[in-house]
Amino acid sequence: MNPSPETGAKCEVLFTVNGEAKKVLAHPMERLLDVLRNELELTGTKEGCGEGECGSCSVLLDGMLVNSCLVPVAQASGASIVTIEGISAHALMNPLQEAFLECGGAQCGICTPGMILAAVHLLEKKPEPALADIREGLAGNLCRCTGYMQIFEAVARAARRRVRK
Amino acid sequence: MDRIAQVVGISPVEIRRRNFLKPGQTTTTQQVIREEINLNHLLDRALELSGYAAKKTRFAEENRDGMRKKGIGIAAFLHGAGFTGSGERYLNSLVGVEAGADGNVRVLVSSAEFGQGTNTVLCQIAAEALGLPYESVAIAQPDTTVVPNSGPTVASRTAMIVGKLVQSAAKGIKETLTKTGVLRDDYTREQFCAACREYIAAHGALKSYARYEAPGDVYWDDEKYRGEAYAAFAWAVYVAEVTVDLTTYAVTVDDFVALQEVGKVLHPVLAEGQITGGVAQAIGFALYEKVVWQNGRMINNQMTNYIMPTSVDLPPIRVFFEELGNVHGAHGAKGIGELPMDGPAPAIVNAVEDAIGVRFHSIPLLPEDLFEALRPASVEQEAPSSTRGAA
Amino acid sequence: MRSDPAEYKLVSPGNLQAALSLLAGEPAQWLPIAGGTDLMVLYSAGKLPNRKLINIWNIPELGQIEVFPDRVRIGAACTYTALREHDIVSREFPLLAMAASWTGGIANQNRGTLGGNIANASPAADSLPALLVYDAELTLISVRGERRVDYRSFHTGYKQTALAADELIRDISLPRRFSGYISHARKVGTRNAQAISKVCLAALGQIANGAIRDVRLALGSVAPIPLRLNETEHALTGKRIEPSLIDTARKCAAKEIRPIGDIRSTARYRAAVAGNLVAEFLEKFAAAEANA
Repeated sequence: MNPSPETGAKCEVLFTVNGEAKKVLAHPMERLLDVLRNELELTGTKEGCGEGECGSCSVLLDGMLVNSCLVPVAQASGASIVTIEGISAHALMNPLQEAFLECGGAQCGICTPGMILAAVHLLEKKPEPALADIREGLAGNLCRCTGYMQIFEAVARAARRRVRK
Repeated sequence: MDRIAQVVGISPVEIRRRNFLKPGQTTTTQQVIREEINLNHLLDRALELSGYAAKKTRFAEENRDGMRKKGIGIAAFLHGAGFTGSGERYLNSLVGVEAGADGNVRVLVSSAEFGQGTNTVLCQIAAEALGLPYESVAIAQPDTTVVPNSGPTVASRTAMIVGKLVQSAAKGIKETLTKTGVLRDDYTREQFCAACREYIAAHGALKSYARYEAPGDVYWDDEKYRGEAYAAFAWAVYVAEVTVDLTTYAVTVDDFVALQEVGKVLHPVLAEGQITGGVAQAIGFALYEKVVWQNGRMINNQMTNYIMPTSVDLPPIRVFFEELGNVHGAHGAKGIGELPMDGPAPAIVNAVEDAIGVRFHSIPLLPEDLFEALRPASVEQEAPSSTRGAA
Repeated sequence: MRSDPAEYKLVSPGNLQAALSLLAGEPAQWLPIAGGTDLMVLYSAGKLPNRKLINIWNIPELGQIEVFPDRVRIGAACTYTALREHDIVSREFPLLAMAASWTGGIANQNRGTLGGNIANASPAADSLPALLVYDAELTLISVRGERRVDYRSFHTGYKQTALAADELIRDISLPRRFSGYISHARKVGTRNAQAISKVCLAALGQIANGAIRDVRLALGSVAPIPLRLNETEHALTGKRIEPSLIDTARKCAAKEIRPIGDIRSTARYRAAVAGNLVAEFLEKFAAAEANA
C-alpha cells in the first residue's frame, strides 16, 4: 500500500500497558480497543457496541476510566494503560474478584472486564461508596444478564473488605 | 385482571384470590394441577414483603397533591418448565456421565453454558448423586463427537429435565460399580477412585447413560392441543411500586418484589441471578425498549438509541423463593429461566393505573404514551412534527 | 460499515501555535479532535467525512481552568470530570457541573470536553443551556489572533456556528456573579444515564422585593440550536410569581420553542414537557422566595 498525502501512514506508538513498555506500529486513528486486542493480543477488553455506550471496552488510561473504542491509539502515546489482564497487579483486584465470584456478579462475562475496571476506578475515588455512588459509577456499563443487583453487592462487599484491611 | 376487578367492583387482590388455580383444578388446556401449590399463600407473602396494604393507604393520601403520583401493582402467573406438550418426548434427550480411572467424573450433555450456571448446577447434581465432592466433577465441552444430544438449552428445561437425567446417569455409575462388586454401598472418595480404577482395568470405559422417559401421567393431545402442557410449573406473584412523574410523564419503578415457588433452589446465588436478570430485562420491556420500525427496518438498532436500563434506572429487585419440591426435577427443581419475564410488565402497568387511574394496553409504556393519554389542558405546539435521524 | 484507519491522518502538533498553523494552512481540511466522544462514534460508524484530524487533547493551553476574581476561564479541552471536580465551578456554576454529570457515564465524562460539546453544536447537548444562562463568553483563536464572542450569538443554525474554518475555541469564560441566584436544571432523557436529552432546562432567577428581578431560561432539544427564552424572560421580569404568571410563562415558552419529532420523542411531548419544566422552575423559585 502506497501512502499518499491523504492517507495516514502507520506510526510508532509507545505506551505502557499493565506495567510493561509496549511499542506498536499502527495507524494513528486505529482504535485503542483494536490495538489492545489485535496487536497486543489482550483480548480481555471487549467490544460491545463500538459507540461508547456499553462500557465493555473500558480500560484505565493514566488512571482514568475511558471507553477504549473511542480513543484513537495516537492519543494514548506515552500513556499508562491498565486492562483487565493487568488488574491482578492492582491492590483492589483481589477483593473485587472474590466478591464478584461470591455474589454472582458475572454471568456471561462480556460486561465483566469493563465492570471490574469501572469498579476499580470508583473505589479509588470513593473507597466507601454508598449504593447511589456504586450505581452512578457503573452507569456507563450495561449488563443484560445480572440485572445489576449482584454486581452492586459485589462492589459493596469488596469496598468493605478493603476498608477493613 | 385488574380491569375485570374494576368493572365488577372488587380489589385487584380479591379478584385474584377468587380465581386462583387450586390443586385438582384444570388449566386452560384442561391439565389437572397436581402440585400442592397455594397461590393465596404466595399472594399473602408477596403483599407482606412489598408492604402493599400500607402503601396503598399512603399513596392514596399522598397522591392528592404534587406532581409525583405513586402506585403499586400485582401480577400473578405461572410458567411451564420443559418443552410444551409432546416436545420433550420428541426431543428424546440422552445424557451421559463418565468416570475416569482417577475417579474424576465428567458430565456429558449438549447444554450450553452462557453464564446462567448450567455447568455448576449439573456438576452439583452429579456430585450429590455420587456422594463426591463438587470439585471431582467436571463437565465436558459440548462437542457432539463426545456428548450425546440432551436437547437445546431453552424452554427452562436444563435444571429440571436435563438435571434429572444427569442425576439418573450419575446413579447409574454407582450402580455399575456396586453391582460388579468393586464398590460397597457406603463408600469414601478414595474407595470410589479405587473402584473406578479396578472397573476400568477389567471392563474398559465406565459410562452411564439416561434417556428421557415421559412420565406416565403426562399426556398431550397434539391435534386438539389439550392435556398436560408441562410436567411442572413455577408459580409467582410479583409486586411493582412505581412513581409517575407528571412533569415528564416518566414512570420509575421504585421497588420490586419477585416471589416464586420453584420446587427446589439448586444454587441460591445462581437462581437469584436468573430472577434478577429476567426482572431487569422485563422492566426494560415494560418501560424502555421500544423497537422503532421504518419501512420494515429497525432504525433504533444501536446501543445509543435502543434504550435498555442502566444501573441507575432499576429499583432494588428483591427476590424470594419457596420450595415445594417436584417429582420431575432433580431434588425437586423446576425451571426458572423464562419465568421472570412474565410478571414485571403487567405488574408495572397495573401500578401505573393505580397511580394515575389510566389503563394502558401496550408496552413499552413510554412517557410519550402517558402524555398522549393524559393530554393536559396545556398549550399545544403547532410545530411541524417531521421525523429526522438522531441529532 | 467501519471506517478504515488507513484512510485517515491524525497529527499531534502538541502545541497551540502549530495546531493553528495547520488549520490556517489548509482551511476546512483539518478537524480538531479532543476527547473524541462525538467524532469517534461517527468514525466507527463510517460517517466521518473528514480524513485529516488534529489531536488537540494534549495541548496544555486548552486544558486549564483559571480562576480570576471576576470570572472563571475554562479551557476548551477541559473534560466534564474536570468541571465536576473543580471546587469553584461546582459551587458557583452548579448548572454546568450538573450538566457535566449528566453527559454520558464516567468513562465519557473523563474524555468529553466542554469545547467539544460547543463545537459539535448539537441542540441536545447538555452543557449548552447552562452556558447560555451564565452569560458565557468564548475566546476563539487563530493565526490571525483571538476574538471574544458572546456565547448567545455563537450558534447560528442547526450544527452551524460562528467558528471560522481556521479557528479553535480556546476557552469559555463565565462571569462570577450568579452566587445569589436560585438555580435549577433538569434533563429529560430516555433513561437516567447515558441518554441524549429529549428536553433540557437550565434556569437562574433572582427576586427582589417580591418581584422577579432577573430570570434566565435556556432549553436544549427544542430548537435547531440551544435556546434562550428571551420573550418568556421578558414576560416574567418585574412580575410577582403567581399561578397566572406561571401559566403565562408556559404559553410564552410554547411559542418560542420549535421542537421536532425524531427517533427519541415527539414534538408535542417536547413542547408540553418544556412548559412543565419552566413551570416547575417557577414553583421552586417561588417556594425559595417564600422561605427566604
